[in-house]
Formats: sequence, C-alpha cells, structure tokens
Amino acid sequence: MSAGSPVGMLFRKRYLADHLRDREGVDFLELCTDHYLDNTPSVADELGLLVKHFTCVPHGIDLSLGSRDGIVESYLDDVLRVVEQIRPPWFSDHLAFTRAGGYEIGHLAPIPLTRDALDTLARNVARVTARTRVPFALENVAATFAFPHAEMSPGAFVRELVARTGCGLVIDVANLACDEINLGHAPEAFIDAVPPEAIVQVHLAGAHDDGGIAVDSHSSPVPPRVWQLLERVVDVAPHAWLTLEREEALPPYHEIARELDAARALAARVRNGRVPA
Amino acid sequence: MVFAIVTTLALATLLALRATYWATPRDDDSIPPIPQPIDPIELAYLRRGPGDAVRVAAVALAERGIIRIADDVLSTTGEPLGSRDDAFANAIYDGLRVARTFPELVKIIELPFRAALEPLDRRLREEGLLRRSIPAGMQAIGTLGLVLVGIIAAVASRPIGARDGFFAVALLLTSLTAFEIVAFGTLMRPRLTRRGKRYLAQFQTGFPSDTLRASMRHERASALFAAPLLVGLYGISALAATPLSAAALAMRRPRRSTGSGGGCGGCGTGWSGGCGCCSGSSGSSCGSGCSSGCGGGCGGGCGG
Repeated sequence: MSAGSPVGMLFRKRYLADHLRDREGVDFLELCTDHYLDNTPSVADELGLLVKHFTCVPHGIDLSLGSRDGIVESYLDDVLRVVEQIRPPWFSDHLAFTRAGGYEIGHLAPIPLTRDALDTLARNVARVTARTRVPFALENVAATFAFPHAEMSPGAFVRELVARTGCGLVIDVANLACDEINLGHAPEAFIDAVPPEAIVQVHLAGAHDDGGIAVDSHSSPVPPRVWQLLERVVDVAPHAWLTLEREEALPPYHEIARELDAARALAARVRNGRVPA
Repeated sequence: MVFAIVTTLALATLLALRATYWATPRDDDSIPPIPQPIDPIELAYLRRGPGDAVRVAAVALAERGIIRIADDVLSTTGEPLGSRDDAFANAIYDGLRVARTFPELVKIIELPFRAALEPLDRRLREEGLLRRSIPAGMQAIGTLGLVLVGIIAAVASRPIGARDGFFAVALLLTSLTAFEIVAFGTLMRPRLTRRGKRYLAQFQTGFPSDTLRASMRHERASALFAAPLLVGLYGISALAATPLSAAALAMRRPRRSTGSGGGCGGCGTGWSGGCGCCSGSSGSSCGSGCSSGCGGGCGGGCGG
C-alpha cells in the first residue's frame, strides 16, 4: 500500500480478473456489504478470494440509520458477520434512511437536519458501534430535495454526530457536487465544517444530468468539479482512503486505471504541496 | 484362511502406502494465493498435465502472432521470438520448423518440454498441489494383476466353498472386494490433490471463462494473456467461438487417448491429450476426474 492516501475502488465483478492480474493497481477494494449477505457458495467463494488477495472495506446501504424504527437486528447481524469475515480497518453505511413506518423506501433518503433526527441517528449509530469493535463510518448521500425546517447546516449536523458517536466519515465528494447543483449547498463549507480527523475515506464518481438535476449514478468519468473537491478533502485529510466508484456504463479497465492513477497523482501533488507543520 | 491373511496384509500395505507415499497436506491448510504474474502454463500443467501445457504455450504464441494456426496446420509467421521468451516458446518455435500438425509437434518437442516442465512439476508437488504419479508401466501391471486376482478368486471360490463352507467363501469375497477397491483407488488416484483442486478453483472463481473470452475481443488481449489463461483454466475447447477457434480445432483433445510412446501414460502424463485429470471444480465440464481410469473413458469428455 502506498505511503500517502491509499487508492482503491468500489469492487465490480466485471473487473475481478483485472484486479487479480494487476494487484498493484488498487491498494484496496470497497465491497458492497449487501452483496455478501447471502452466504451462497459462489458468493462465499468470491468474498474469500477478495479477502485473501486484497485489503477490503465493506460499505453497506441498508442499515437505515435515520429510521425512528431503529436498526433491524437481523440485518445488522448479517452485516457484522460479513465484517467479521473481512476484518476491515472500518466498515460504513450511509447518513440516510431506507425504511420508514414499516415501509421499505428502496432509496437512500436524506435525513432532516433537525436535533430530533440527530438524536435518532446517534442512537442508531450507538446501537451499531456497541455490537462491534471494528470502527464504523458514515457517508453523506446526495439529495434531490431537502426537508424544510432545517435547524443546522449539513456540516454542523455531521460535526455534531461525530462528536456524539465517535463515528468516522466517508466523504462522497461527488454527492457534495450533486447537492451543490440540486440544493445549492456549498461543498467547501461542508468540507471545512466536518472534523478532518474523522474522515477515513473519500468517494469520487461521476454523475449524470437529468433535466437539470444531478443524479448520483456513478455512470461517468469523474468530472473536474469532483476532482477539485477531492483536492480540498485530501488537503485536510491527507491519509483518507480514496475510492473510485463506477457502477454503470462500465468502461474497459484501463480507463478505470487511468482515473485511479489520476487520484494517486492528485493525492501526491497535494501532499507534496503542503507546508510541513 | 491363508488367502484372508494374505489379503489383509496386502490391504494394510496399501493403506500404509497411501498414507505415506501419497500423503498430501490436509484440506484446511492454506492454499497459495494467486501469484503475480500468473503463469498459464503452470495452470494447464496442474490441471491436465504436459499436453495442455504445450497447448497453452502454442496458444500464447498464436495470440502474439508468432505462429499461425489454420486448417489443423501450425506454422510460424516469420515473426521472431523475443529475447525474454522461455524454453516452452523456444521448443514450440523450433518444433514448427519440422512439424505441421499438433500431434507431430508434440512428438518432436516432448523431450525439451519435459525437461522444461521438471522444475515446475517438482515445485507443484512440494507445494502439495500434485501427487506423485505412478509410472504408466506400473499402473498397467497393477491393473492387470488386480484383474487376475479377481478372476483367480472367482474360480477358486467354488472348490473353497465345497471344502470349507459358505463362511470361507464370504470371507474370501469380502476381503478380496475391499482389497480391490483400495488397490484400484490407489492406482487411479487423480494426480491433483484436494489442495491443488482448491488452488485451481480460486483461479476459476477469479477468471470466469466468459470474462476471459470477452477480454480476447479487446486489443489488449495479448498483453493480458487472456487466451493462454482461458486454455490453462478451461481447456483448449474453451477457445471455440473466439478469434482463436482454429487453435481449438487444430489442438483438440483426441477422442481416444493415444499418448506418446503407447498407452496412456497415467493420469496427467499424457502428451497428446487424453488422460489428464480435470480439477473437478466449477468451470470444468468433466467432473469425474480420473476415477474412470485413463485407459478407457477419460479421453473425450474433458476439456470444457
């Protein structure tokens, strides 16, 4: 693994052979936890192979930490079983809710920026962290709408969450760029507001435009604005692990490798440009 | 009574032989990770023996445009080998000065190829991935001996029954059956250990055949060794319906094994193809391994 920010990507099966042939190409792989919850032989074989050859970080989508209903314990059991198999430096999920009033939303919905929602979130995060010694981190989601009556800024909300729970942060700079377009939020203000020491990982990806709405689809190359935001995050959190996410319109691996190299180069440039303390 | 004692002693000897001579690390021992770089010849040799190692080396040269394969004929294109090409590539390149077909090539390059494979063979056995193979002659003699013992016992059972009664015959047949099962099992044990199968299985999980076939359509396929890896992991027939489908035809496995030098040569030692042992793991179409014996049924079915 490189001395500065390790650079990896969200694992897609399409690239498995490429990763195995060129293990130096990624410093780590982020695995979608939910894909490995069903312990079928083929899934178990794939997970075993990945864990044996790569540093892996599980990233889940369905803990629904913003739900007033609380955590679904059986789901948490399954997530922690996967975490135990992987033995990662941390695992993560989203600052969102996917269930409400007994209904599955099927989407990562943003959490209202209120004290009440923060209490719920902190309670659910504490429930997760009480069950494992592996550090837990949360990722900011992209929103196409914001709940009214916000009591604090997104950055202040996350800062307080970190202070109350001690959780880590996965900063998705592509989501910040989407929020900038869709909600008018200032990404730089968010980056400056959150505690840099909590940032363990950064996500970068491309979105697509759907009639003026930026959709966090992970379907295109990383755009200039996202690289710009990445630079800012790396500047404040130089050891955060950089993760390229590409889930749709998957290009040949050499195009992915080019973006990974670009992330590596950016991190090195920022690191070298820093004035020693 | 004497027969029962002799049979029991033979059985014990066989079991001891299996436990020592063919002892391999247990299943739960950690298997080696996928190496970097990956060697498709190693995989082919491990999976099927030297015949497939030759196929992989030839396919690697065909993929690089150094040899041409058309209408069952193999020839060099005039492109020179690189200075970093190994003994396998050199043996094939030199062999094609004389040979035109794959069986001819195999006959010509058997000696240099066998010499080049020796260190690999030794390493694979040291790592517990391959068993020591029984020499072909010994295997044939052993099989013949077992059949003869069975025939003699069948003929002898009638007078023994008349003289010593039903229990004597039952004891004779029971001990003989146990002996024959263990003896055949020992003679026909697949060359690949369970550890070897698991080692190969992780490659087959990591490199599914459809992914490798898809890679072959990309311009960077030769840099990625997609075709040799495909043949190494799934056999020559996996090249069908790919840009190198002519190689699948020209180097297809024979329906009945001919083996160089007569006879099959034991599991995995056949050169022209018929007798290798399949890994038995996912991705291979031949799940039976060598249990059916190399002299008979293994030739045509594997290779998927």
